[in-house]
Amino acid sequence: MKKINYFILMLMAFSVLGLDQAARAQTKSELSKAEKAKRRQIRKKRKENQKKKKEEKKEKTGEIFIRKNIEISEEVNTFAEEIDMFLSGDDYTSKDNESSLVIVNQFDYSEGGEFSYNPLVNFHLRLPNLEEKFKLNFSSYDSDEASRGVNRSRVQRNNPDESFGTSINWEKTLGDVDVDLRPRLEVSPGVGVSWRLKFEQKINWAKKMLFRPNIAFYAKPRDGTGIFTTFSNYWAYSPKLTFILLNEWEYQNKENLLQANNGFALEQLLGGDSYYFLHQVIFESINRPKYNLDSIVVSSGFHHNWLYRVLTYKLSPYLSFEREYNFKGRAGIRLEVQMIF
Amino acid sequence: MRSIFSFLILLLANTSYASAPEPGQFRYAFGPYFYRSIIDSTQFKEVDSVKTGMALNVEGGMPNDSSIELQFLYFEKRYFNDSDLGYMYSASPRVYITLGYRKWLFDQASVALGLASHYLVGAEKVISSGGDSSGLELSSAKESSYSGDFSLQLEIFSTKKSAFVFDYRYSYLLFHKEGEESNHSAVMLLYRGVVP
Repeated sequence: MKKINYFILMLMAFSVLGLDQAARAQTKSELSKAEKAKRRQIRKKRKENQKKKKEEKKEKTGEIFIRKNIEISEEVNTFAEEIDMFLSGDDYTSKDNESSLVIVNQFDYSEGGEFSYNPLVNFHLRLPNLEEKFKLNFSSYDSDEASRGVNRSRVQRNNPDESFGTSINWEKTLGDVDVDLRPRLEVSPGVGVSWRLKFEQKINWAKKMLFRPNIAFYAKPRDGTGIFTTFSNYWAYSPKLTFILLNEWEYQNKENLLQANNGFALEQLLGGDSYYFLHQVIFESINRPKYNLDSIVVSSGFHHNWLYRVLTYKLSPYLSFEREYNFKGRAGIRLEVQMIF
Repeated sequence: MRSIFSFLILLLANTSYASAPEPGQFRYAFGPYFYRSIIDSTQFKEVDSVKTGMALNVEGGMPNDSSIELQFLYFEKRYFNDSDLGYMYSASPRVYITLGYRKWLFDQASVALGLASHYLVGAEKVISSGGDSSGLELSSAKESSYSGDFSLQLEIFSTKKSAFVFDYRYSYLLFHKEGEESNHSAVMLLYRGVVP
C-alpha cells in the first residue's frame, strides 16, 4: 500500500513538474516570438537606415568628390604659394595661384593586343608673385601637348616617355610670332632637365580659316634632340563644326627617326565646350626602313569635360590598318581620364 | 699678367652706360665662342688647340641689378680619361643650354652662375686612344649631361641699346665618370642688343 501511495505521489509530482515545464516552454516561445518580432523590426529599421545612408551617399558622391578635390587643390596651391613666396620674398599681386596637379589615366585595348594602362602625373607650377616681381611671363604648360610630338594626334599610341616633372613657360611675342621657351625638370629614371623652344604663328584668313604653323626644337635627357613641326589648318564651317587639316612631322636625331601624321579631323561640338566628338582619319608615316606609310587610323572620340577643371575623360574607339598586320583592320578602344587638382 | 689687367682697365674705362637690364627688359647677345678643354694628364701628349663655336644669349632683367640668363651654344665638347694602362680622348657635338643668374657687381662687370644641360647632336667620335683603354669610361656618348658654369662679363663698349661684351666662362662637368676630365674654359666676344 505504501508503495502505491509513493507511486501516486511520484506521478503527481512529475505531472506538476511537467505542467510547469510546459507552461514555461509556452511562455518562452511567446517571449521569443515577441523578441523575434522586435528584432525583425530593429533589423528592418537598420536596413532602412543603411539604405537611406547609401542613398544619401549616392546623392553626395559628386559633392564629396568635388569637396575632396577642393581640399587637395588647396594643399597644392598652398605648396605652390609657399614656393612663390620663398622665391619672390613678398606679396606683389592679389592674383590667385592657379597651380595644378594633373593625374591622367590611360587605358587602351586593341584587337589581338594586350590591355595597357599608362598613368601620368604632372605638376603645373604657377608663380604669380615672382612673375609680377620680375616682370616676366611664366605660365603653366598646356598639358605638354607639344612635347608629345607626333603622338599627340595619334589615338592608339601611348604617350611615350612622359615622366613626373614640373615646368614653366617663358613666353614672348616677337612681331607676329609667339616664342615659347620651356625648361622642364623631370624625374625619370634619374633627375634631368629637358628644353623646348617653340615658334608659333596664328594666321586668320577670311574669318573662318585659321592657319597655325609652328616649329619646336627640343632636347630631352633620354631622347636627345629633335624637331617637331606642324602646319595645321582650321576651318570653322559652322559654330558647332570645325574641319581640321593635320600635317605634323617629327625628327629625332638620336635614332635618325622621321615620323609624320597627315590627315583630317572633324570637331563636332555637342553642348558648349563641355562635350564634343572628334572624328579623324590619320595617315601615319615613318622612315623605317625607308620613308613609307606605316598605318591608317580611323577614330571617333567622345571628349567630355565632366566637371570643369576637375574631371575630364575621352573615350575613343578606333580602327587601325597597320603595315605590321598587312593593313588588316584592327579595332581598339582607348579611355583617358584626367583629374585636375 | 700686367697686360691682362691693362686690357681689363681699358675695357672698363671705355664703358659709357650702366648695363644691368631694367626689370622686365629682354636682351639678346650673340657672337663667336672660343673654348679649350682643361685636361691635366701626363699621358695626354696632344696639344688641345682652341676650338670655336657659336653662342646666343638671352637675358631677362630682374630687380637689384640682376638678370636670368639663357645661353645656347653649339660646339664639340671634349672628354678625356686615363689610367696607368692607357688613355682615351673623344669629342661629341653638343647643344649646350645654360640657365643662370647674373649679378652686376658694378656698371661694367657682372658675374653669373648657371646650370648647363648639354645634349648630344649626331654621334661621338674617339679622337685618340693609347695603351689599354678598354676599362675607361667617358660621358661623350651620353644623350645628356650637366655642368656648372661660372661667367665673368665685362663690357667693352656700350650705348643705350647695344654693347660689345667680353665674356669669360668656366664649365665644370657634373656627375662625371671616375677619372674623367671634361671641364673647359671659354671666351666670347658678343654683340648685345635689346629685344624690341
